[in-house]
Amino acid sequence: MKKLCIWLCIISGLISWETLQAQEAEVLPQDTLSIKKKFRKRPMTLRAGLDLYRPIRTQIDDEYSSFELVTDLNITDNLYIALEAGTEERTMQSEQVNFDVKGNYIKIGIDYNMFENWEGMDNQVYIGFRIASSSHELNVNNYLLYTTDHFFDDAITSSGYATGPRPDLSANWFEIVAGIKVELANNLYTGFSLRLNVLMGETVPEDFANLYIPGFNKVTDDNNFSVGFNYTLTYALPFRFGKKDKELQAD
Amino acid sequence: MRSFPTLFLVMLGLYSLFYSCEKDDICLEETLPTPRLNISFVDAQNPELSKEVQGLQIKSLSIDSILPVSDPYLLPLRQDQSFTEFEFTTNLGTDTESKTLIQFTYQRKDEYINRACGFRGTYFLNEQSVAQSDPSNSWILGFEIRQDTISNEETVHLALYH
Repeated sequence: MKKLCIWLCIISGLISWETLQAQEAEVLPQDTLSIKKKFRKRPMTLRAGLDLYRPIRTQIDDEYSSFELVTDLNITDNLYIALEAGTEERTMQSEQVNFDVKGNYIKIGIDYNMFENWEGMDNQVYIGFRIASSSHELNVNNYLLYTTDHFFDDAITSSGYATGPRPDLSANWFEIVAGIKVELANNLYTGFSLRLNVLMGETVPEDFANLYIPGFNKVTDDNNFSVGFNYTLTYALPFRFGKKDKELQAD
Repeated sequence: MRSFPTLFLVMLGLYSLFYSCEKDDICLEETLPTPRLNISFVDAQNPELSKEVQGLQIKSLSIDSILPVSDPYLLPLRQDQSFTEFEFTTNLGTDTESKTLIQFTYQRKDEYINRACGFRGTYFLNEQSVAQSDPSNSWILGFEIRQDTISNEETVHLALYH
């Protein structure tokens, strides 16, 4: 039974490949514009992979640990639903305060491809947006009180007072994304994206502030913006729906 | 299509702008720091009147250093423990020189200000906050807590009678 399934799969794959080939052969004599159009009617493709920068930095930096999974699905030739999910844990020194931050984030949105591929190419230069949210916690490890007088030696406060955990925090933000994806080998892509983040809402920790939000990065006192990037490696899994096949055959 | 390199450059520009031109986090001078204890010497017979101490010296024995003379007298409080001791000397270098050791005990609460300044402490005094080593032989005859919450240095927190 299982063998039969596999064979059916292979055969149907071959058939669909044949029909595609035949299609191209048929349309070749026509003008180039329509060739392009025919060719670009491609199957729905789910791409999944991970960010490479974060695990590498995790290896190098003792006070940093992060991992991000990325995936996208093309809904039309140039529109993709994109999703990133990640986790981040790090220890940071911000001026006089040393704190830990730990949490997860999820980002969902749309990418629009602006790159017109030549036949056989599948690269993207895209812009898009994400709606993102985090669930995180902070812990104040130690700090130096803000003092202008230094008669006594500055004393680090590392227990009691305002040190300690700030649990159950969250934030949500909006990202504007610009990036590229290049097909390295068949179905294997590498990508780089830059993000401009705008903080929309946050739960402010008691007697402290969200100085850093996983996924959003550094929060400044002056404004709601931050920047981010990722560097991804993804693998594409094309799949077809019956409807699409019929359309192709009907052409 | 032709706009994409431009767009990408703009994004890259914004990105580097954020990293390089980010405003330095400098704590503004007008931000109130962790306060010191503001003390005033008053006449024991008439506590409403302040009375200057002749030949006054305030010294921390723990770090063996003399507190610079200031007006008003602002005593820094140690942050690594809940009390600070100072030795108060009057008529320094004369025959009537007299010393007394006073221990100030306090509680502290820290509040967050902002990224640049971090945390600021506020001290709290109570009736047991001021203790002298040998009160019966001291030139300081008593004290009065004028303000038990030390959140700024503007007002007198503690009056010492002599």
